[in-house]
Amino acid sequence: MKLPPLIFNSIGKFLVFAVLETVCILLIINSSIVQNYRIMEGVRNVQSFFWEKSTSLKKYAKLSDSNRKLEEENSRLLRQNLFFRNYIIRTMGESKLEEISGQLKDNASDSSLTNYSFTLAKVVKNTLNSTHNYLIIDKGKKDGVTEDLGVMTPSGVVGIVRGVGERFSYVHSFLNLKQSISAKIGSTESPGTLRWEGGSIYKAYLNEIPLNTEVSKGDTVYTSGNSSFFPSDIPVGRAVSFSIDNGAHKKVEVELFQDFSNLDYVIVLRNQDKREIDSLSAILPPEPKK
Amino acid sequence: MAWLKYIYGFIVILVLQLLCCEFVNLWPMLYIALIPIMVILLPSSVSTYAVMLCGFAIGLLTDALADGILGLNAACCTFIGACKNMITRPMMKYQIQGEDSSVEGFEFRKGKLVALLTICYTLFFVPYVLIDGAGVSGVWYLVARIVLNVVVNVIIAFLLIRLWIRRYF
Repeated sequence: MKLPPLIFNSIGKFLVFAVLETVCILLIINSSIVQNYRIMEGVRNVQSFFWEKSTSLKKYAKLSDSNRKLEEENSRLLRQNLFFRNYIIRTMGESKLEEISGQLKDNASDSSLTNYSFTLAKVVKNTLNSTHNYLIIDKGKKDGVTEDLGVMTPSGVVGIVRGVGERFSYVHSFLNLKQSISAKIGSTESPGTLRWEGGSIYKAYLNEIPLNTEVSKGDTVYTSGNSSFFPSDIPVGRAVSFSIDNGAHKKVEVELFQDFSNLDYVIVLRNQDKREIDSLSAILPPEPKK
Repeated sequence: MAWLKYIYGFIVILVLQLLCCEFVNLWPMLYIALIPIMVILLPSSVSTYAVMLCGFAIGLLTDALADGILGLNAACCTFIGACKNMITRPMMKYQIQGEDSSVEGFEFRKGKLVALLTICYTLFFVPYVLIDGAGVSGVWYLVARIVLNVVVNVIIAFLLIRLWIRRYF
C-alpha cells in the first residue's frame, strides 16, 4: 500500500522535528546540571510508569503462585503456633500459657518496633546483575516516603531509600557495594558491619566483630538497632563460617534469609524519632584545645 | 536580492539579541527574545523543513554566542519553526482572499500581526520557561513568567516590525 503524499510529508516533518528537539534536549542536559536532573527525573517517571505496568502484568500472571506461597506460609505459622501452644500446655500447664500471653502483650508495647511506622510498597523494578543494585518502589512523597528510610521484608533487610519522587522511590539495595548495615551475631551485643561484597546474592559478610566474640556456625545474625534505619533484632541471615581479618577482627560469612530474586512487596520503615536522633548526631563534639 | 535583505536583517536582529543578552538585565523573570522574529518573518514560500532547520540554526547560534543554557533557544526556535507555516498560511489566505500571494507576516495588519506574534511567542516561551524553571518554581510563578514575557516581547517585536522591518523590506 502506498502512503498518501500528505501523510508521508507529515511523518517526515515530525521526524525532522523530533531529531532536532532531541539534539537540543541532549545539549541542554549536557550543559546544565539542574536541567539534567529535572529532565532525567521526568524520563525516570515515564520509565517507572512502564515498569509498574509490566510488573503488574507479571504479578497478575504469578497470582496463583503467590496465593499458594501465602497459604503455605499461613499453614506453617499455624502449625508452629499450635506446636508451641501444645508444648507450653504439656510442660507448664494452661495457666502458664495465659501468663505468657499476657507478658507478650505487655512487652509488645515496649518493643523497639513501636517507634516505627510501616508502609507497604510494591517493587516496580529490582536489579540484581550489577555491583550497585537498586530497587524502584511504588511509594513516593505523596505517601509520606522520604530519603534515608529503611526498607525490609519479614525475611530481612532490603535496603535504604536514597531518592524520592512524587509517586516512586529509589532504593539502594543491600546488594550494593556502597550499602552496609549495622548487625550483630547471636545474642552478643557487639555490632559489626554487614556488607554484600559482590558475587552470590545469598551471601554477605559481617565485618569488624571483636576477636573475643563467640561465633558459631549456624548463629543467627540480627540488626543491631544502632542506626535509625532499622529496629534491633530483625533476623537477616545465618553464620556459615568465619575467619580472622588482619589479625584484628572476625569476619563472618553470612547466608542471607532474604531472597532478593523474589521480591514482590516490601515494607518501608519510618523511625518516628529519626529527626531527633539525626539532629543530635549532627552536633559534633567541640575540638579539644591543643 | 530579497534573500540578501533577509540575511542582513537577521544579522541585525542577532546582534541586537546578543546585546540584549549581554547588557539588558531588567529582571530575572524577563527575557527579551528577538530571535523568534527571524523565524516568524521567514517567507511563507520556505518549506516547514527549512524553517525548522533555520530556527534550530538561529537558536543554536544565539545559545553559542550568548551566555545561557546551550540548546534552550534552539529547542524553542525549532518548535516555532515547526508550527510557523501552520499558523501564518491560513492567516495569509484569509487576508488576501486568494489574490495577492506576496503578503508576508510583517505586512499583516495591526490586529493580525499582534495575533501572530502572540501565538508564536507563546509557543516560544512555554517550553522556554518550563525548561529554564525546570520544576524548581511553582506553577503560578511559571504562568506569570510566561504571560509577562509574552506581553513584553510581543510589544517589542510589534514595534520593531512596524517601525523598522516593514519599511526596510
